[in-house]
Amino acid sequence: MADGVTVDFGQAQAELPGQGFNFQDVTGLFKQASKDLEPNSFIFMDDFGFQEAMSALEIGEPRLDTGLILQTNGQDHPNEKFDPHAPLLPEEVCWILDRALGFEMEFHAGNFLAHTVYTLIYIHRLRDIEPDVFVDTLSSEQQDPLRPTSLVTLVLRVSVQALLKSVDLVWRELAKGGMYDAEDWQSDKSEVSLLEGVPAAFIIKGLESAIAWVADTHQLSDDAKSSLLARLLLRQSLLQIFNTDITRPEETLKLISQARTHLGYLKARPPPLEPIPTTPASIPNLGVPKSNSIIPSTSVSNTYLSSTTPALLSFDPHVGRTLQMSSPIRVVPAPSFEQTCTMVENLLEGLEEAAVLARGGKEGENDGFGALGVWQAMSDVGLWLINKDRTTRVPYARSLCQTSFYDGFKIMSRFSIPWLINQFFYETCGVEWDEIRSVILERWRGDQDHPLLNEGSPPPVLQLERLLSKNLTAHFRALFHNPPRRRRYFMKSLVEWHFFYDILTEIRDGLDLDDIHPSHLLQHLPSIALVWRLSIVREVVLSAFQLELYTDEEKPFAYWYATQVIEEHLRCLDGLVQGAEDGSEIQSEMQFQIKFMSILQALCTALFVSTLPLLSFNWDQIRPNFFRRYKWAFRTAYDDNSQAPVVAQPELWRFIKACGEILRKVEANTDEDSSDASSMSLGVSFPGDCVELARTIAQELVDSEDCGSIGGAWAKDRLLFVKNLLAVCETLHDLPTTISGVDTFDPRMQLQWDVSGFHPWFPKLLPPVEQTS
Amino acid sequence: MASILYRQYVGESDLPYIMRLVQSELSEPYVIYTFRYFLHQWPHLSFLAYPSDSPTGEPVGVVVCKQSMHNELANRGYIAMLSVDKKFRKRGIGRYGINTFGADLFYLPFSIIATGLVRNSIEAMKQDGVDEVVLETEYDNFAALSLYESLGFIREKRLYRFYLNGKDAFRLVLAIPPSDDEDNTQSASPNRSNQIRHLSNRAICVSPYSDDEDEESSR
Repeated sequence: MADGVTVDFGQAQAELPGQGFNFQDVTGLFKQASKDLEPNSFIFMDDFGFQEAMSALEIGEPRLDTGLILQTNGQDHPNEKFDPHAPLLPEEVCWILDRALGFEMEFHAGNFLAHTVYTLIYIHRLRDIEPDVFVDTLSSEQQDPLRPTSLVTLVLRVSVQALLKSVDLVWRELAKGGMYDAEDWQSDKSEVSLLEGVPAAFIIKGLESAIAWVADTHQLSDDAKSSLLARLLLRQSLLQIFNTDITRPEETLKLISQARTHLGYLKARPPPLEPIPTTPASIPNLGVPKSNSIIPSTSVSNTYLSSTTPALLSFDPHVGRTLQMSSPIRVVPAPSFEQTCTMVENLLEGLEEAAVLARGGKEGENDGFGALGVWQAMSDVGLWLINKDRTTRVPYARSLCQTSFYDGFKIMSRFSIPWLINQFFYETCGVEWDEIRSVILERWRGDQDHPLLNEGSPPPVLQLERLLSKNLTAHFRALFHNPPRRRRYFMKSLVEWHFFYDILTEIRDGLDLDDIHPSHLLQHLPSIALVWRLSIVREVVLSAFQLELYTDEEKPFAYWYATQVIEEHLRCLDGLVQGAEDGSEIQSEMQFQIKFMSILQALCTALFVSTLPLLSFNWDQIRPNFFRRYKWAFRTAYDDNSQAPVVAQPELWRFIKACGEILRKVEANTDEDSSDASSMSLGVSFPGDCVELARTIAQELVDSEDCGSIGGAWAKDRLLFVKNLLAVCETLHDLPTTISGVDTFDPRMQLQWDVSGFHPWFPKLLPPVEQTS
Repeated sequence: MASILYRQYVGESDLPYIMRLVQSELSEPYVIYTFRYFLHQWPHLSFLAYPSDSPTGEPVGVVVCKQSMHNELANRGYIAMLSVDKKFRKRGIGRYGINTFGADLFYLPFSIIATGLVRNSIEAMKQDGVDEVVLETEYDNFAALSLYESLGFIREKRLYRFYLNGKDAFRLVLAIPPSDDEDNTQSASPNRSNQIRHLSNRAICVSPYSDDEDEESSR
């Protein structure tokens, strides 16, 4: 005890919080320690940063102090009234299992276990519902035949175990590192067992026992049996799916099909609804009801739980205060039954996609054309097609996609890195790398002008292979990051793709091509890298619309720059397609790409011109924001590590020049309001004409059902995206087709971007607002 | 008629008002140490707004900031908290028209008070050579997004499930152009002029590139 400080423990104990918990008052110690501090002064320790400040706890602050037990509305300490031994009706068990399933889906959505799955108190009281521990306080004559104890000791117990094991298996996949902790998911287990040491097979056997009991018992009505079986079978399927290696996709797909069937049974048998709250009341400990107050068993549909049911006490949203947690408690609302079913459907859909990819894309072919490209296609259309029920695939499904593509050893669990490089070249230009490599070695003469690659030095093929080995696996895994992180990865990777382009340029410049036709692939080697790099640049630019990053002022440049990038991409494809074999899959895919990008280019041109009025022309502010937005293009690494100039750099001065030309022409020709006015008088095509061009090409693709050659199982989604572009063309049909139309068009009033409801990249056209005098 | 006065944070006596203003508005809880972390190290960057007819009364708005070198590359200012009393929030223009300065304070839009606070802090940061000013805000905080965009901020990146409630955030950034004095100095630098000559396909970088997408917050 500090000198001069005495405490009357008798009085203090009566006044201290936590009475009876043997706390001791140490206020005096703090006073002693701080007696040399001046008022209003503050001492910072070394390295006391923001994280340290945020990590401090304020005792008694309800948002931070998870040990604080609030007393509101008399509904405190729900888990103190919870009785794990309370018998349950079948519908009450169904309600508990459905709610637990909903919280499990919320964990998949990225919430903490302590805010979701762990709120089911039975998880923390599993021991109490073991058959050999469960205390039957009633004699067999007094037992409620409508509340058989096996519902708790068998059905509920194994379901809870299966839930924990399911979460454990998911946790192990997520912990592989492909998904980001504290971003995609929350890894904190709060030191609660997920039955890590219990084999899944053991729990699956337990489920089988529960299923057998439910099916055979005479203690349940047929309705109750059906409802319970639907839930048990679904849980069994889910656990089996989680326990199946993604490298066995056929098995996974079979289990997913079963799970869907069981989900259908579940949807047909919704649980009872929660009682409508009246006045807050304490919930008595029911014990076992007497026989003359037994609630008659009814169908679980369109019924309500009793307000006194013990089931309502089985979830505690504040359970985190009893656990080891480093984050504040947040009450995650339990999803409704319908929301739960939707989330399970989304989970199964994501798992199915992962399994189809792991199986190898095209039916019956494991390494044919498109085996690689299908991963890109699946990732792209998954993001580009708006799905209101699913903003992004669950992290578990995305992690499985990453694992099945490359687990650090094999590509798609069976191929090697050389296969990957070969397939990459094959699907980009129609020729495998091994063949190209041997021709390079044959024709290599060196480049006299190159400081390192003159005659006598070997071609940099090893350097190219190392670069591709590192970057291709990372690229395909990055396809399954969450959308903002995916975009940032692409931005960072562009310099590596440029290095690849640089190496191919060096190789081409060092080859003897005197006897080679200009259309030959060897003349267009660098384009192999460019088509990938430029498609990534395009994705970086357009995805910023979907992520709602652009201010209005930035949109004209974004659309203009996209047209420039696509122009270069089309130039590359024009060169490569000449060397492609007639009727080949690569030719078909390139021709689809050419048409697809022509649609995009036309729409981007239309919107560049239409959004020009959004520019403030305050170049003092536009310029620094431009360099910040496109900072990925101005890395010093481009200068330090490559010789070849970067293709399709974002260049503000060219944009300014393009804007100036259009505005000058509009100003000079404002009096021309004739439908005969040539587009050349504007410098670029009129927006309305661009949209018509895009519509024509899109219609052609839709009519021919042409979706290229690499879509695989997602070919129809590619076509669907083209149909969406057609719909964009329909809505933008009335964009201006005259100079005066361009002059008077007001994008602020008439263009509306709706990335979650209409299109990720393009706006819809609203009718013009009538001018009032 | 009352107008708005802005003054810098002066000491612990301001702290209770600042905490009250901020805690009532923000969804994420902050302990007192968090406030002190900013206010004691960068008091000159934090400002309070007062009605001019009650300059010693309670403030109606506050902004709390910091400024430091980021990754040894850029002098970065950070707006940690911005809050205006609910009673003084009105969306859109006040009853007395666009120029409400000098009008009854009750009708001053939230954005004008908030804009004044942010402008004061940015000017103070400029005194210390700030290159960029950043902050995070919830993706659906349209009032804040509109306010900052009117000041020239752009949404540099989107941060997936950044907040405890699972919401995304936007990282907003305002790139501060170098002052006229700096421009003259840089154009005289031989390295920079060489760069301009030889790199015709490279535009001139204003802010150095940094791979900071993995940092959770610049706080």
